[in-house]
Amino acid sequence: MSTQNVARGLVPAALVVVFMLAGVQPSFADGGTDSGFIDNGVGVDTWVVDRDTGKGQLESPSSGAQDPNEYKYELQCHLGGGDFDTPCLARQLDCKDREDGAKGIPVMWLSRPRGVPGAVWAHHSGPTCLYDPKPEDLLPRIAADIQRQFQNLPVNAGAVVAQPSPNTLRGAETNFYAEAAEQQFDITMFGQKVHVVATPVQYTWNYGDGTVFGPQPSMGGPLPPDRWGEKTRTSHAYASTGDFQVVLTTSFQGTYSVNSGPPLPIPGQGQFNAPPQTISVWRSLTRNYADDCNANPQGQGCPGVGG
Amino acid sequence: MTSQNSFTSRAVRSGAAALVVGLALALSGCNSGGSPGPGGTSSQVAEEKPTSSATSTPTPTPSAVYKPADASGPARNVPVPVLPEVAKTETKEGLEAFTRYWFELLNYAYQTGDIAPVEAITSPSCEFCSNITNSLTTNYQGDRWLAGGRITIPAASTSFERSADANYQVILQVLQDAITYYERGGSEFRAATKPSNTGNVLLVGFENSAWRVNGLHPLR
Repeated sequence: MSTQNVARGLVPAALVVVFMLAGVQPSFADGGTDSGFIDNGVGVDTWVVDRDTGKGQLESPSSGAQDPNEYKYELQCHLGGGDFDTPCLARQLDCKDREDGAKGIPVMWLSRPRGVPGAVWAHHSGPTCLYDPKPEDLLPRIAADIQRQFQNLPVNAGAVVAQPSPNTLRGAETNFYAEAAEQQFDITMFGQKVHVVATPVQYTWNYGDGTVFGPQPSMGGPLPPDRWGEKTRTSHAYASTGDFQVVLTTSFQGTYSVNSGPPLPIPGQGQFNAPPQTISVWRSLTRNYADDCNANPQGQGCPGVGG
Repeated sequence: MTSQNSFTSRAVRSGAAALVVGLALALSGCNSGGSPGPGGTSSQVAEEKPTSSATSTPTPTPSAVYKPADASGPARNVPVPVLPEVAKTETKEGLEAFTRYWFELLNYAYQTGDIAPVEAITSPSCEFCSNITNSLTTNYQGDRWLAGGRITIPAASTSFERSADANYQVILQVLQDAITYYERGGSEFRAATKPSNTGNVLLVGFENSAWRVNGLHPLR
């Protein structure tokens, strides 16, 4: 009669769980959704146009992210050749000369999608000022150096959150997720103001027990406390007990814009590590107790009895 | 279909491969002034003055005058686009005309929240399409409306070749004006969407004697 399932049985072993409040999500419940053409294409399979055949096909995952647009700038109010739009000149952007005497040139940025035969240049941004005696030489020089600048920026790789935390159970699915966000930086290169936007795109989890997951695109997400223990895309089950150092490496894709020009892609990704987070893996003991503690106060699992 | 196939192969061989067709869409609806910016080189296609409708019926009522959306209310008397005869044929011209028509219906949906006409000629499997129409349905609920967002197609081209999945490809440049989101009282319920300029491919099939959009994908 010792292990029968008398109704009052099943005392779970002590689970030391530190509940964490799920972060408050920004609510757009009342804000509608974006109806922009570009926004609604996000997540839809992208295609590429073959330069030789002119035919479109599904983009292969290995082709790598490339900026779908090309850009150029034109002098503001320039109509072509030696012609300028006189009324436009009257309200032309006033580019103050810089302290070092460099002359400011007002320009307009134009863009057009690559791969579309006959695509027209359309206004992208501006007017804005370029400062360089030879503005046409500026972009290649910045482009050549931007990758090195990018990797040296103080980009925050994001925070590691574990559920449950700081303790979890051996063999149980522990949900890990990253809290990484887009970050913006203003730097100066070759005397130009360069604005860099770093967007997290890939995540690599080193769970500290020899298991590495990634790089992969999911940052994971929080689970409500009543669903802790469920398997998620980024969860991990530890096979042994102990303390483990979890390290998140986040890869960022970057864009840079020169003097408020269009965002241009930074060719390579930057890798940034989050500070290690320690997780303690405990073992759990589950025993079924069938004694009635009123009848037998010394029974296993009853209050005050070691177990 | 035999004659068309031979036409296709001839067209391809002739090297006039680009077959760039300026589908300058001068759509009903008004320029919201989203672009180009001050002093910019205008690359936009010309616009037509919106008229109440193409018909010249003898009793033009004042209430039938087209009025674009603004803070005071949604667009009024938006003409329903009409499918041109040529767009009913499985020809290159028909495909081009159908493409223009499809984007006119999309503009109609942006201005009215009425997505039924464009959905009627669009496969539910077009994810991009349903993303847009679902967002419009959401944003037109409860005394809300959109202003701007006019789409123009300055460049469109097709090789008019039927692929293995029976679709024809149209490669497009899509320009869209800025969108403002209004609710009753004229306040904005979400941040405005900036103008955009993108390359896309439209996948169109000819099924049961009619063109139908089966897919829309952004180009990289």
